[in-house]
Amino acid sequence: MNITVVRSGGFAGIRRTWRVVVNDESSAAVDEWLHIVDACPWSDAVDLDGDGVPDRFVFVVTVEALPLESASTSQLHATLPESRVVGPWRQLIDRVQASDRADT
Amino acid sequence: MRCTIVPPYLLSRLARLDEAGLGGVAAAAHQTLMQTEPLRETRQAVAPRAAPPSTASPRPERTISDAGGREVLPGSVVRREGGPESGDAAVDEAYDGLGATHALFADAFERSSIDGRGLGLDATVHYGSRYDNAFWDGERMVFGDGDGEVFRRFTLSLSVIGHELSHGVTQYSSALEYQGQSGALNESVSDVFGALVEQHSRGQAASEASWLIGEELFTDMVEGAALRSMKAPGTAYNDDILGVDPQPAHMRDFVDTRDDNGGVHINSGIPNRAFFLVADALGGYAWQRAGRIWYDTITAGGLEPRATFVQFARATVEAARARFGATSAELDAVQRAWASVGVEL
Repeated sequence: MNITVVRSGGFAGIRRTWRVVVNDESSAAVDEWLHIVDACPWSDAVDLDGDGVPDRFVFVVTVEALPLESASTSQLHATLPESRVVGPWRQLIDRVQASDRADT
Repeated sequence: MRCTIVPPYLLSRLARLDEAGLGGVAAAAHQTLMQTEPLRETRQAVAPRAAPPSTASPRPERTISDAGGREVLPGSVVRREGGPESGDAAVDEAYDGLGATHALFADAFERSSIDGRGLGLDATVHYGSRYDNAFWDGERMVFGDGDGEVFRRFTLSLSVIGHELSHGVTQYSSALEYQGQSGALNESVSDVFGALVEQHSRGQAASEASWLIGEELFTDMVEGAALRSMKAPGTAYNDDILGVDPQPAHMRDFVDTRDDNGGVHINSGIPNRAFFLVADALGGYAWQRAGRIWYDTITAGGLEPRATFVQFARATVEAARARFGATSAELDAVQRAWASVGVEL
């Protein structure tokens, strides 16, 4: 399972990408990530763009190669403005960013 | 788990990383799932336009708040107008930057604060943890401290402070929609007046200015002079992790993207370059003639919220003609500048 976070916008307008590849052989690791992924309201955030607030970030979150037994689709995709990055979205994005740094 | 390539200087983050715990996930998930409001409900509405500028107020009415590292606004008030220096660099930089921005609009354009009616100027500093950004939320300027590795604190740059407050001026004058070409114009207008705030504060003529936006923000670990160059868009930085400055300087290189609200911080390079060319051609203090034309353009009331580059360019031509005359050097400079960046009038 791969999870990618792309952040664009912000005052700098610099595009940044963070990515993790979850070890599918570790059920504990997969379960931890799926716990957060499943909590995100994906259907509400597809194709959502910026919120019109100058200089705030826009995030694109993609999950690929989801375990088939855990979902009806193998891929999830959401675009959401920074103002909507709360709750599980915030947990997921923070964790991807931290894991990307930690594994390097 | 595996991750992307990150340069050595980011390895120092390792020592400070927190364990990404899951304890709060269930509660956070419940909180979000209980939210029923449509996601687009909070999209910023177009602000009502203020009355035409009146006599400029002699001094600003500033209030600086401290978010204390949280992402909650406005935070606690730490300095008010006329109060002594706080000793906190971010607080005092924001206070001084608000003053410099107020001074440009008052001295050069006889505008009383951002709304033309003496509105108080509010800012919040120390927003979030390692927050790599500054923004205008419709009511106040908000500044992060940066992560200390790529970005330093955003109050260090006067052009950034001027940029953010100028979003307020645009909100109260033209309300350019923050998407696509009108969004890039919104961004460019903020860069223009952000640069002018800096030049006005330093007493710099056009030929003496750097025309860089955010010159002070990058740490020494980044290969770059600034976030953007109005004089030479696309040349501000070239860094292993950040990549190459993506700004175009000509319409033939216009970037079509869904990122960044349709590339508002990218394609702003084209009108930025046009403004620089006008200022460079006219010489002297840029706020006196080039800046005056741009200011007249956004305050004349003729710009549509979804204005294109061509429509904006035509509006600057009309503004130059109205203020300086049909045979003026100013009008000629404006027409030549837009032609140089490939915007057909």
